[in-house]
Amino acid sequence: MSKDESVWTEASLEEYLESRGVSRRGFLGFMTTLAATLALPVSFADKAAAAVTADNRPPVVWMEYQDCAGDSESLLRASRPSVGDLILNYLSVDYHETIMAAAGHQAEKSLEDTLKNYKGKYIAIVEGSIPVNKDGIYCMVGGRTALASAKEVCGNAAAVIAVGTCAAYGGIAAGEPNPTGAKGVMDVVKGVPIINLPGCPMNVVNLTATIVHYLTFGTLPPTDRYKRPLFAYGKRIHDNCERRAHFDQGQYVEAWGDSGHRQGWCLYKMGCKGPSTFHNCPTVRWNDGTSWPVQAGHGCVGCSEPGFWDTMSPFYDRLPDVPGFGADVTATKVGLGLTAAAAVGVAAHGVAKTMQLKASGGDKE
Amino acid sequence: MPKIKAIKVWEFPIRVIHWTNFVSVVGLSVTGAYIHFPFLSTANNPDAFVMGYARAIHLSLGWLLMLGVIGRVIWGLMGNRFARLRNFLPFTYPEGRENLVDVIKYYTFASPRPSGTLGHNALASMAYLSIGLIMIFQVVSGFALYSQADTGGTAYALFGWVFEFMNNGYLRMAHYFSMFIFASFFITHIYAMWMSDVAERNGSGGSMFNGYKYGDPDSKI
Repeated sequence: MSKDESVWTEASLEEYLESRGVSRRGFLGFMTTLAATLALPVSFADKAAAAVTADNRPPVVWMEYQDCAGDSESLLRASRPSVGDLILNYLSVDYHETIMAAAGHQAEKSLEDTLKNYKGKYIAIVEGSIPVNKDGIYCMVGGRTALASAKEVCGNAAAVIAVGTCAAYGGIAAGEPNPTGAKGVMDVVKGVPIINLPGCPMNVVNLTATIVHYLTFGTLPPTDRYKRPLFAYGKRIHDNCERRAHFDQGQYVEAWGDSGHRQGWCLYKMGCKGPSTFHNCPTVRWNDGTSWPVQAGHGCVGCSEPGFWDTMSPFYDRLPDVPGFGADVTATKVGLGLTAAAAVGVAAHGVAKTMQLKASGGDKE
Repeated sequence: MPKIKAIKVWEFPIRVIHWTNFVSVVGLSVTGAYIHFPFLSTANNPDAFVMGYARAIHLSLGWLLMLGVIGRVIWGLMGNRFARLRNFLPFTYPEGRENLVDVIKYYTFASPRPSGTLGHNALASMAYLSIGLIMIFQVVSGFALYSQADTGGTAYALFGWVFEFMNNGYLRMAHYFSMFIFASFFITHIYAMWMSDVAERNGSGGSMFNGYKYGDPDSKI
């Protein structure tokens, strides 16, 4: 992050926001939205605002490993600099490979300084999976493997936030056959609080909310069995979907662009993975609440689920293909084959057995 | 030849559970197939609630199947000797192993007729063990998938552990695929029952209605 020292050390968050054209009213409005995202009472908006503007904010380092920088993009490419974006900027992000001004040894030094001066106190945000095969040589940054780097940087952090499905579960790089042995942070780093914000990419609202929760309460928000915060991943897409009524009615899009598609019917038959996916897309939406995939007429692809690439594809079929049968072999094909084999086998056996019984001499005894 | 008598083999609870399982499996397959592939078009009916009803029936029959499985296990502990759970594991006792060889010979045409049993023959018992385990899998995976609607709820607390072992996407596929195992079992089951009736003259076709089979009352199995 281009670090303008005067902004970081002297200006308060309010002054910083003011200089970017965000009024205090706008700031408090945003904090109220975040409190709602976290399912907290409105009264917590003030507490959260106080926590965010306090002077003892922990520094943040943003590590990128086997990634596409999509989560960084999600952070930066708001249609306009959102308040959340500015708060994250203000949070003294000491290290972010893609967008920091420093390069080379200077950049690595700033990381080293943070690790040394704020040991056990900084927040580590990780983007991208960590390859472990062949001692992790598939991903090297600054002459070190992602594996070694993650163990040091995350192992000494106060808390780790894994952003995006790759950092959470290995993501696309971990798809079958996973040549690099890609893993999520939680499979590599032990002994520190880790929270996952999967998604391809993660939603910046959830990242901001998680950080604000941490600043306000000093702990990471409660999570589900996959270490996803419940405030963002506690409900299925399907159960909060604006097209759910069409699902229950039995009104489905049968082909892209058909009359059902034009009327906004349910995308279930087009392979929508909303029924399998936990995420708050229908409520917080994307790009400053503009829209989200189903609203735009495309099914959910299940990007925030563990094993996303293998078990949520094909994107346009409801169920994954049967593993071990090659490409495009659906459960229906295998199942119908099995049933047909049983029918044919039974018929053939029946004919042969009847002939054998006749040959053996009619009735028993 | 041994004396042949009509013996009460299948007690009333066994027969009731057999038919509730039949109803639930058939109903679950039909509604489940619709849930997988909603083939009815309700395009011009704004009051339709087809998927809603299909799911409601599917879930209700899921309860019925669960009760059937639990009931069968309980009766396996307190029923007559043909109902006991031991019968599902014929390979664990000598008469069972002997009968297994005999029945395999019968099915592979090495002998025209099996020597006959009163209860399930050993191979059938193993088939029922498998289908019973699949019923348990269907109940557990079904309730696990159902529980996803409320991860803070009782059902998720009871069945959510399934997701430690199987990913959401594969669990759905396995739950759907099991329908075809039931279909294959159904075909094979009807055939084996009919063939047993013909080759052994043991009345197995009617036994699931009246409870009686014909055979040697001294038969161990």
